[in-house]
Amino acid sequence: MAKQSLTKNLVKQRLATVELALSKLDSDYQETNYRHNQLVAACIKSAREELDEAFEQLYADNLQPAFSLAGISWLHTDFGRQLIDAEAIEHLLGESNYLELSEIHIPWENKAKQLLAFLEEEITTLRGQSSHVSERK
Amino acid sequence: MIMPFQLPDHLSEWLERRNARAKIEKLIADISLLSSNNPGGGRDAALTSLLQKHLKKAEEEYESALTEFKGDIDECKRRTEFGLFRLELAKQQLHVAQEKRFDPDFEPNTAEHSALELSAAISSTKMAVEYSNCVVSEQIRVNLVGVVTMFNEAVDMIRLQEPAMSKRTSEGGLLMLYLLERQIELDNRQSIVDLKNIPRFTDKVSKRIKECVDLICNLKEACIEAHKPVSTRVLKHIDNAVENFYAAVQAFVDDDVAMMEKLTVTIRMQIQLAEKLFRGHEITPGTVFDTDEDTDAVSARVNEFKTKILRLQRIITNRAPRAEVANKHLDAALKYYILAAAAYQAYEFEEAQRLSRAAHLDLDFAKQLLFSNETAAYREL
Repeated sequence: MAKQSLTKNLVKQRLATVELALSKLDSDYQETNYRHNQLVAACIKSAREELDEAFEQLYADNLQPAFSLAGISWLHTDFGRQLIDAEAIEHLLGESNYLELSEIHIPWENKAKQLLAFLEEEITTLRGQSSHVSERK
Repeated sequence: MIMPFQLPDHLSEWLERRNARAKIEKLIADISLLSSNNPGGGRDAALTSLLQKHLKKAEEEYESALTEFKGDIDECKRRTEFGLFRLELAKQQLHVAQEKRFDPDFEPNTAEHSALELSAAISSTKMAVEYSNCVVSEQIRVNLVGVVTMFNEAVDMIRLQEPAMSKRTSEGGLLMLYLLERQIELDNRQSIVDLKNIPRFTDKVSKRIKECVDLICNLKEACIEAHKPVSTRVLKHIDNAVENFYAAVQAFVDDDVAMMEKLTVTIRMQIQLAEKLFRGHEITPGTVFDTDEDTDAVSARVNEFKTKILRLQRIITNRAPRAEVANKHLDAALKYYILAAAAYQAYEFEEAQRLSRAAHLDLDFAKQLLFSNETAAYREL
C-alpha cells in the first residue's frame, strides 16, 4: 500500500476486494467436479478465518490489524486462485495429470519417532566408528 | 457539529432520535436502491450471492434498528451503522467487479510482496510440470510440499508481526524451488522454459546460495551427459553438498549468517572435490582435499544432527505431555554428540566413545519420556 495514512475507507475497500475474490474462489471450487484439491480447500479455510478476524478488528475500530489481516486473507485467496486456475487449464487440455502439493497429514508421533530413529542411528554409527578405531589402536 | 451551549435533556434526546431516524431512512433507501439494481442477471453467481448476503444482513440490521429506536437509541445507531456498512461493502464489490481490479496492491520489498512472489512461483512450477508432462519423483514432490509449508510459515510470520523473518522464509522457499526446478529438468533430461520462473535474487547472501545450486546442478548435468558410470564417491559428495544446501537455506531463514557462510564454503569445496574426482584427477590420501573432506563430512553430520534435534523439539513442544523435560535431554544429547564428534576428529577415540555413549543415554531418556508410560531411567545401551 502506498505510504498514505490508513483510513477506515481504505480498510473497507481492501475487505470488500478480498471478500469478493474469496467468494468467487469458493464458488468456483464448489462447482469444480473434476478434482477437489485439498490445498485449495485449505487456502479457502485459512482465508475465511483471517477475513472474519479482519471484520472483527474493523468493528472494534482497529484499522491496522484489520488491514493487515485482510492482506493475509488475500495471500491465501490468491494462492488458491492460482492453483484452481492451473488445474482448470490442465483439465481443459484433457490431461488430468495433476501435481499434488497438499501436505499428507502425518501424526506428530510418527514424525518424532522417525527423527529419533535417525538420531539414534547417527549416534550408534559414531559409537561404532570410535570403538572400531580404538580397538585397532 | 459542535453545540454552542448545552441543550436541555429533552431537546438533546429529540435531536438524537431525529438523527437516528434520518440514518434509518437512509439505510432503507439504500437497501431499496441496491435491491432494484441487483436482479442478478448477467452477473456471476459469486457476486450475486455476495450482494444478496449483504442485502439480507442490512435488512436484518434495519429491523433491529427499528425495534431499538423505541428503546435503546445507542444500540439503534449501532445497528444502523452496521447495516450501512454492509451496503458500502456491497457497493464496493460491485465497483471492483466492474473494474476487474482484484489486486490489493502490496508494496515491493514488503513481506506480503515476497510471499506473493513465492506463491506465484509455486503455482507456475505446478503449471509447468503439469503442462509439460514431466516426471516428478516422490522425493522432489515431498520437497515441493515443503516449499508450500514455507509459504504458509511466511504468511504466519506476517500475522505474528515478524516481517523480516517472513521475507527470509519466502526467499528461502524460492531458493528451494530453484534447486527443485533444476532437479526436475535434470531428471527429465530437458530444459523446461516455463520453469524459469524464479525472480532475480537481490540479497547478497541468497545470491551466494543460488550460486551453490548452479555449481551442484552443473556438475550433476555433466555426470548425466558423461554417458559413463560415475563413481559412488562423486555421487556421495554431490549428495552431501545438497544436504548442506538445505542446511544453508535453513541458516538463511534463521538469519544465522556465520553458519550460512560456513555451509556455502563447504558446498563449494565438496563440489570442487567431486568435480576433480569426476574429471579423473588423482586424489592421494592425506592431501589437503582428503583432510578437508573428512572434516566436512563430520561437520555436515553434526549440522544434520543439530537440525534434526531442533526439528524434533519443534514437533514435540506443546504436543507431548512431558516435552519440556524431553527437550532438556535432547539438548544434552546434542551437546554430547557435538563433543563426541570433535573428539573423534581430534583422534581421541576413547573420549569420543564415552561422549557418544552419553549422547545415546540422553536420547534414550528423551525417547522414554515421549513414548513410554513408565518412569524414565538411564539404561545401559
